Amino acid sequence: MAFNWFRQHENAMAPVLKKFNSTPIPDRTTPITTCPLLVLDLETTGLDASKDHIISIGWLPIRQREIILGEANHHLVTCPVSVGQSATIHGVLDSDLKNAQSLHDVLTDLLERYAGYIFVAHHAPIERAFLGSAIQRCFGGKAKLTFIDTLAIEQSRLQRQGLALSQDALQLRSCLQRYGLPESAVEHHALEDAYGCALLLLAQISRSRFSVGEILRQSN
Amino acid sequence: MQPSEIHRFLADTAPFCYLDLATLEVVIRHLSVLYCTSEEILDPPTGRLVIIRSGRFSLIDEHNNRHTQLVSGDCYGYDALIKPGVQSDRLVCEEDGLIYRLTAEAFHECLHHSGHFKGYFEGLTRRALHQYHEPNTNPRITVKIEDLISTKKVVIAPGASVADAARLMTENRVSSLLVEEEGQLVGIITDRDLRSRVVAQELDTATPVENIMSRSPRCVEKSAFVFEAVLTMSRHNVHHLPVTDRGKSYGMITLTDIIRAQQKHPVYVISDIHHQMDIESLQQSAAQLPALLADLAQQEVPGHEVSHIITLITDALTQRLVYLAQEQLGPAPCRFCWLAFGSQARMDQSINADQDNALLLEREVTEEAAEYFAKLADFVCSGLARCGIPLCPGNIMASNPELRLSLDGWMRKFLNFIHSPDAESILGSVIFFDARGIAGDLSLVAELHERLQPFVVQNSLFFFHLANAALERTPPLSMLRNFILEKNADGESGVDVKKRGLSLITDIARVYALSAGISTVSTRERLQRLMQQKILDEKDGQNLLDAFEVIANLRWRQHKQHLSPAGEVPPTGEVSSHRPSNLINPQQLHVLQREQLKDSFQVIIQAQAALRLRFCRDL
Repeated sequence: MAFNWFRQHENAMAPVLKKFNSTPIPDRTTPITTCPLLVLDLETTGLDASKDHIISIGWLPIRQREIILGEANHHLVTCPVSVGQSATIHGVLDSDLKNAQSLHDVLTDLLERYAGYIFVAHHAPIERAFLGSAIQRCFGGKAKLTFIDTLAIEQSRLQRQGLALSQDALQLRSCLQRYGLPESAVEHHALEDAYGCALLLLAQISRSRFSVGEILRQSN
Repeated sequence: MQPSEIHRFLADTAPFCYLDLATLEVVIRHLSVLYCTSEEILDPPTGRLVIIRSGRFSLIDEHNNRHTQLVSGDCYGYDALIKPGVQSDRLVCEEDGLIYRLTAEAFHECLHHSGHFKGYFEGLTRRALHQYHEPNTNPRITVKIEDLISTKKVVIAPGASVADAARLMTENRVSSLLVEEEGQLVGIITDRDLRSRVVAQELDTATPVENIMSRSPRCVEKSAFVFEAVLTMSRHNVHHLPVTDRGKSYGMITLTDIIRAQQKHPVYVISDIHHQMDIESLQQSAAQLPALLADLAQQEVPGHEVSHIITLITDALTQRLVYLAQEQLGPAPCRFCWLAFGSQARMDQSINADQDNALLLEREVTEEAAEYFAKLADFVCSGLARCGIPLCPGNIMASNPELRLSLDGWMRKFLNFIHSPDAESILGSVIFFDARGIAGDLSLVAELHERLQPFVVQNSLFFFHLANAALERTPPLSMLRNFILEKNADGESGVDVKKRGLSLITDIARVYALSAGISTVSTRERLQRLMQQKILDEKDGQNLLDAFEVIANLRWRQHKQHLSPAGEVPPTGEVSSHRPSNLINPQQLHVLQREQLKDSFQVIIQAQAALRLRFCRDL
């Protein structure tokens, strides 16, 4: 066993990650509407990716401007520590996690299915950090992740309009309201938030014919 | 797992609300969500159903005309899915919004799974008023005994004679009595006991009741379900059960009560009315009307038939009240006829109609006779009010002395309208031209009509004014085919489908019918006769009939919402302060109903133009 573990470590990357990293994402000049996107949201035990853990993941793909509900997914993830106080935010209790899946299985599924996709999240640095470190731990290497951040897009849009931003103006709920989009009754649920984020992105990219490059520039 | 927001929306939206949970899950798995921006044009969908989630959309026909508007909850593209090869109109987005698209497989799966779902789309493709409804749950199972029995308790003492018992039963028209001693139930006696234990045994009619009564009968609590009473009756082979209220004697329930309760049918209500001997009982009979209407609503009886039934019941109440008045006041001093005007006369009464009536007397009467008819009119009008038909705010009622006239008096009144017409007097008098005899000597109405007829036809000035009065109001539709909304006193906005819909058709039919000497007053019959006599051409007449039916159905659909489920309806005796309104908010209609309403208004606009052309020129 120890030997195997050692070998895997030595050999670095697992094949699934290698394959993911070798699949190119669309060219930066591609219109964003034709680019395959995966909107995802994580719920975690805290905000520090080096100490805290993922407890749930929700995702839905967007292809040709359409959110494909048939591929909507939500997974609870086994967590090595107690969810502790974070339960008050996301509502997931330790007892709910008894039947959860291993992070390894969930991420394998994600990387296998959505190679070549650009990822989308609302306030993406969190998702990027947690996903990056989880992939590092499970598959022994760095994943090439490209993220669009709907929060950053909204921020630059509002700033361009010269609007003073209130404290919560960039929260997902406030953004959805601004576009007259339906809001979920449930917040801080990975799939519900991923769906809200997907609607927000569709609204954000609806007006102009943005290219992938422009959107990524706005996201950072 | 799926986003809860989508689930909630579909579960609230017809026809998806008819699907069971498992099928709804399948639907959501086969959906995609698309954001549309205004002026974006969606080509006819190939093999997918579009469901509007938010925003505003219009259909564009092949000439690039934008017509039907689609809003949240509307569907598009079903015709091509149901009948392959059908060319759908294109969809254009007017205001940013979201649409869902459902795959053809999932759509057909739903058609297969749910009859309601299928019926909904079949209705849409027929472009008929689709009438979808919830599965009919049987409310009878939950009916309690106290909902069924009258509070009247008929009691006799054990020492009374069987002759007294028989008399008491006859007087109260019941088939059984409770036998009580010092407030305690000791037995019951039924008409069958009188037959088999008294007459057949040749007992003396002075025999005390206690000798033949059934002692310590089985009882049932008034809060029990009716089916419990049925079970007890069949188990012990009895037809009468004393009802107790927390152990104390309360009344009696009979098999007949139960059977009658299952036959909530106009026929039973009407025959019930004709059996009542006083106002209080009549009031109770009339109180069945809301439950009856709720039943008719559940059975999806169309609007015009419901109006007909309401009219028949009002007629029966009127007839019975006229009879009871004569019981009280003695026979009338001369022949008379009770007249109904307006919607009761036309047999298209709605649940919110008030009284419009009058008296037609054979001849001029003495002061004493006039007094008699004043009392009779008061009795009937106040009786109708107690039975739930409100007094007329415009005082068009027989209780108004100006509306209790002899044949000659009515002739003078009508000739006055006809010969010196001006716009105002015509507006106030049109109601009298829809009159029908309800009670008394109906031949008097026929006589009045016959004497009046020669003066009416060929009087073009009269028809000029009558037609102008009919053109006073127009349907609430703008040049661009948009609804013109008005607000009522409660601040609700909508279109008044009576004042600016049904009444306009009624007015048009009246002008033509009077000019052609047609004596019938029902709007539908008038239009049919006008078509038979080729006064209206087949197409125009049929369009008006259709429009009349569409609008009447929409109004009935609106009024239905004011009916609580059968069994928990307030008695009509107390006129509720919130009467069903005729104001319909088009936004609450289904897209096709909205279009049908617009079509119907369009028909009226055209018919009004034709009327103007026919009666309002050359003067």
